[in-house]
Amino acid sequence: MRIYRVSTLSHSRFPGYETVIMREFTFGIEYEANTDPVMDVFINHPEVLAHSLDGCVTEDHFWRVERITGPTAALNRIEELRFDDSICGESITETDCRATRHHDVLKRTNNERVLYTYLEGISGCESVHTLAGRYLPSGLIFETHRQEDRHDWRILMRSDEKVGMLYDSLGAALRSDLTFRMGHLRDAEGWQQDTLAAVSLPASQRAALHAALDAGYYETPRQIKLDDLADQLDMPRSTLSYRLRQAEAKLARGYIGESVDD
Amino acid sequence: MAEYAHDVLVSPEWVVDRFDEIQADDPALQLFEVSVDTDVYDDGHIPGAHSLDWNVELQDPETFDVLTREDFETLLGSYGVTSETTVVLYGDMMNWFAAYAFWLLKYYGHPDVRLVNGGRDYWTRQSFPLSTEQPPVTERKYEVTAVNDEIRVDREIVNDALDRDVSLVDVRSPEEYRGEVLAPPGWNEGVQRGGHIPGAINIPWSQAVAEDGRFKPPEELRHVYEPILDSETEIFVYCRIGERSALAWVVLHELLGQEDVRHYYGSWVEWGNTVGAPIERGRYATQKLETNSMQ
Repeated sequence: MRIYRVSTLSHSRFPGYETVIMREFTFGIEYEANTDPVMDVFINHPEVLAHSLDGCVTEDHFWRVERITGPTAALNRIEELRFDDSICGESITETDCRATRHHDVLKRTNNERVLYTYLEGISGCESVHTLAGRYLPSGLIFETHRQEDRHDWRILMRSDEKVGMLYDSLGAALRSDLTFRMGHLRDAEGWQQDTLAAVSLPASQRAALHAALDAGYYETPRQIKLDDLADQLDMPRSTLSYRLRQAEAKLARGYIGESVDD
Repeated sequence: MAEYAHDVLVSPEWVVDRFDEIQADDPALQLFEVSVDTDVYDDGHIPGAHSLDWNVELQDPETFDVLTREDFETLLGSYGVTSETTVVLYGDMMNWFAAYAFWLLKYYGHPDVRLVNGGRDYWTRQSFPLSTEQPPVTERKYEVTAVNDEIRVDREIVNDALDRDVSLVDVRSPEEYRGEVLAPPGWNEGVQRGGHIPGAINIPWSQAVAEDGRFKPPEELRHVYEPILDSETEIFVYCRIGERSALAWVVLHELLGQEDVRHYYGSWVEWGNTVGAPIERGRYATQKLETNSMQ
């Protein structure tokens, strides 16, 4: 059974080329505290966000580039954990992975860290990469997002013929303090649409932005005046105004790609 | 260490010691790989093993039921099995489908069936030998003498049992049990309604198996299944399409020696799609909470 479809616009004039419609499988894994040292940093610092792009070389080799934003102390902690060979940070089963690990820091500022990771010869555990590499076709791409207790995965593949085996083996492999959350399986569409989600906002600014959006403050015309919103939130107008302006500035800079260092 | 109730597990070493008989097409001993991923047999299998395709050979595609008695006899005969043969099974994914084949053989009354502990994954991780050669086979006559009906249960009986004191065990993942996942991705097994049979407790099948793929020792298994072992009631096990629950059946009936264990073959695909069948959803997986609180 071949599930992937060859596009009708296939490059028939170029023998050897085949256009496939990529499929995507998304899911989340939720971690309880004290079960994964890397995820613990995200749990302890809710403002830390990470986005990664990973690729499987083979079942037991993968690479990853992960961009993490947040307070310096949290970023330092993650960097320290990544460079500590006794910390796994990949396994979803009871035991840690054995592997040869290579790490480098591609970018280091107070609020942003970009880490390169390459693991080879993974054994003794299962990770999402090893299971996906076992059941899915070569050439996989992983986009992942971490925040608080949740690590979200989007796996892009040329064929989803054996994705059911990945799903069942993930469910069987997960250690008891990890919880699987199903996303979807469908044709892959879009790429890094949520770059702004990588912008790290302090919790107070995020809450202010949320409340403003919910109350229609960003509608045209505005559904609510700043004074009324401040009253609703029971905070001084100046505080609300300051938080919104700070958040807006960070989003603008994040969108344009400027460094968001304070 | 306490022993398993019945001597149905064999070690990889046990298989290695019998390579000569296995590869000589000896009617006394036949080895089968039953993997979920049917492609892996061609990459390399235990020398002398035949491959059974669960999708094509172990279920009836017309009736969506187990093989008919006649088809079962033809199938086993075609692989040189007689009713005296010791049938040894193994497979990938913690012996999931190998255990289903085990149950099926028991259902059709085959006396001597064994499972290679750890299955394919343990075998390959421990670097035991693999072969890509197709073993020779001599066709023989297989006859089913008695169908072992008491290890199987159908929907009507499950439905009647809702008013009785029966332990129902749902071995699917917690998210399927809670009704969050209706159609598991990649499997053509969608159901109209999510949840579980009322009163069923969730003990995911994989909890019976250690991380290396071998079954947990008896005392650990007893702990996993503790909520249902204390009572004297019958136990019904079910999953999505009735294969993973066969593994739970093997554990409860063969390894722990529970006498009244019955496998609901129709499982959630049948129950969840049946008009009027009562369901329960959203209840948190009891077993998972208990496991967590132990740590």
